[in-house]
Amino acid sequence: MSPLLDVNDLRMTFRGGVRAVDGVSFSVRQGETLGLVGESGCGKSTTGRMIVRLLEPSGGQVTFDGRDITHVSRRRLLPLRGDLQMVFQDPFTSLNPRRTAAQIISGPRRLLDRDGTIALLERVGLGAEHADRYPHEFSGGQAQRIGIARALASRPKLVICDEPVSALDVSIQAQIVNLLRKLQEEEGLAYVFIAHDLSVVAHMCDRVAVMYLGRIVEIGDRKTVYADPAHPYTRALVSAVPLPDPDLEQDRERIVLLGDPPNPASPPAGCTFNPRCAKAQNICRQEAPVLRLVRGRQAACHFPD
Amino acid sequence: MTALLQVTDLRVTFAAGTAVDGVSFTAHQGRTLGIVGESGSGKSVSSLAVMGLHRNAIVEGSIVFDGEELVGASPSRLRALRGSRMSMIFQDPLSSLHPYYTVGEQIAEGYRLHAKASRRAARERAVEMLADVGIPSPRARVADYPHQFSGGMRQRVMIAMALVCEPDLLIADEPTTALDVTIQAQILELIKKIQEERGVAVIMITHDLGVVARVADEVMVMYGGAPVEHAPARQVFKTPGHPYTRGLLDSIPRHDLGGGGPLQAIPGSPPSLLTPPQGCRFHPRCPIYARASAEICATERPAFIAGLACHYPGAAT
Ligand SMILES: Nc1ncnc2c1ncn2[C@@H]1O[C@H](COP(=O)(O)OP(=O)(O)OP(=O)(O)O)[C@@H](O)[C@H]1O
Ligand SMILES: Nc1ncnc2c1ncn2[C@@H]1O[C@H](COP(=O)(O)OP(=O)(O)OP(=O)(O)O)[C@@H](O)[C@H]1O
Ligand SMILES: [Mg+2]
Ligand SMILES: [Mg+2]
Repeated sequence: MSPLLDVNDLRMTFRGGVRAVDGVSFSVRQGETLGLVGESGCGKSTTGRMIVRLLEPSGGQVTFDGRDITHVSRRRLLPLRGDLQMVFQDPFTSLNPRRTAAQIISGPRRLLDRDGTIALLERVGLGAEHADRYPHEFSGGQAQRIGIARALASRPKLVICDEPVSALDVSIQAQIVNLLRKLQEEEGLAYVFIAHDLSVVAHMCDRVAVMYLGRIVEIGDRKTVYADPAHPYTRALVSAVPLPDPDLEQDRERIVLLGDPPNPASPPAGCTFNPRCAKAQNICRQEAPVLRLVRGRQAACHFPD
Repeated sequence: MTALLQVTDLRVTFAAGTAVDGVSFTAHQGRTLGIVGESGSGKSVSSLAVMGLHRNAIVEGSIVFDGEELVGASPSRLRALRGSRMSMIFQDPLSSLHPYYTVGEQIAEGYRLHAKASRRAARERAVEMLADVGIPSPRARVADYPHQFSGGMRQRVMIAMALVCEPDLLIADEPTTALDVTIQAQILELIKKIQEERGVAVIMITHDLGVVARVADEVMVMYGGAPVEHAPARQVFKTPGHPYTRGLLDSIPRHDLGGGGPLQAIPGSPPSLLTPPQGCRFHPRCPIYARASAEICATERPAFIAGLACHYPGAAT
């Protein structure tokens, strides 16, 4: 079976030469979740926005449900809109301030009637009393859940979730994660799940892709990647996750990355991670490593752990 | 320990209902108070009240900052305090940044007002601040507009804006939600350093209990517009006194314990603002009430005594 989403060598260069996304490839099958993690500014949201075509890629290809949608016009994209949804990272700015929650969720095409809208509000832990309020009357986590409800209203096949639970307390976060998983089981929904919280990603995802400076540096089965990271960047990420236990937190050994994240407008030569990598050798400063199979997952490193 | 901010029995009421109903806490110089709790429980609304930023709400109770009552203070007085002695990192970075000014101008503006610095010095300071919050190539990016920054980068601009005016009280509302763990660690270190150097009182609002475990001296847990528990951080994690706190701790996803499988959530839904439950606001979702079906939980709102608002103290641990 061909995948629901196929992303091939995707690229985005912004004005000023910022190579925000620099050759990203992955695919997502129906009913599957791919986690996308990595440092702030590494290009996760840009990748997501290109997939739903809020941005037109500067290179590469996006194939959704068997159709190449890389450069199709907005009008021809319209029929696909319902199938391909996005939950935005910035909850408030993605909600129209002049529409009520109910209007936002059912959308301009009035996908849902009043009862359907309220039922959906309840599934995300809100209720009828919230239906007629405007965005500024919501808390951060409530606004985020309205964004989630809006994305689910059209019963999509794929949802790009950009930090969908970052503003939620852990109990509501658990409720939303469980809801997303349930919809996946019932309706075969697929997700690209962008999050910086590796613990949430662990619960949501079948596979994870780790990005660094516009590229995927490691991708594979979630369990394999977490239990035994091959790329030194992944290893540092996994070691830095805070644990909700003051004792464990005090005694923990964290791998602290050397130096600053590089500037995407002038990335370092060779492996872009080399200036911050404790293991960097000469070759790392000269030759960019490509993804290759390392112990059951793909990693782009000359000297994988 | 010097109390810098004392909030007593704060109430904030909107047309839609009372969002904050009886919040009291103290922030001390050089210490960090962590505030956690349900989404919609009134954390941001309480903070905005301290900052004097509510327009369409009735604020009651008392907010004393360094000996001065802020409830009922004039808008110009509050504005003066905000620019110099207290600052807040807002939860919502993009809508708190101005789209038509560069990030550098927005950071420099606060510094110019606070330190009466020249334009040039303020711009230099903005570059330094961007570097401090981990923005690569700060000198080049100081002239960028907010939309050219990623979500986490905007959040760090907000942090720089809040820190540049060297406040005595810093309220950080979810300052690190959009940040990956490495940058998060860097930001927490930065706040800690400034706190140690200048004895800043920090109020850290966050859903990330790992962050709380790392930085907070004491923790206040909120539910339905009021605190349900307030205790030293270690105690909250090790021996939570309130069943809501217990439920929260049980909901945390832990990658170090395996991962996968459904997460545990507290059953039921958050309380309504319009028609909050009678008695203890948590009782419809409370396992103790479900087990013992103690009538008092459904009829009487528990008083907040010795850091706990529960009719059955100790039953949750
Ligand atoms: N419209 C734009 N114009 C110029 N540069 C941009 C634009 N949008 C994003 N960028 C740059 O592209 C890079 C990647 O941004 P992106 O938003 O994809 O990061 P991200 O991985 O989602 O980060 P975060 O975790 O902070 O949200 C950043 O350096 C950002 O400054
Ligand atoms: N301007 C407003 N008008 C009416 N209701 C409001 C307004 N602002 C907030 N509320 C309501 O007040 C309650 C408390 O909101 P607040 O923003 O303080 O929550 P919070 O604890 O910060 O939650 P989160 O963790 O989701 O940010 C919520 O139920 C919210 O819907
Ligand atoms: Mg992003
Ligand atoms: Mg809030």
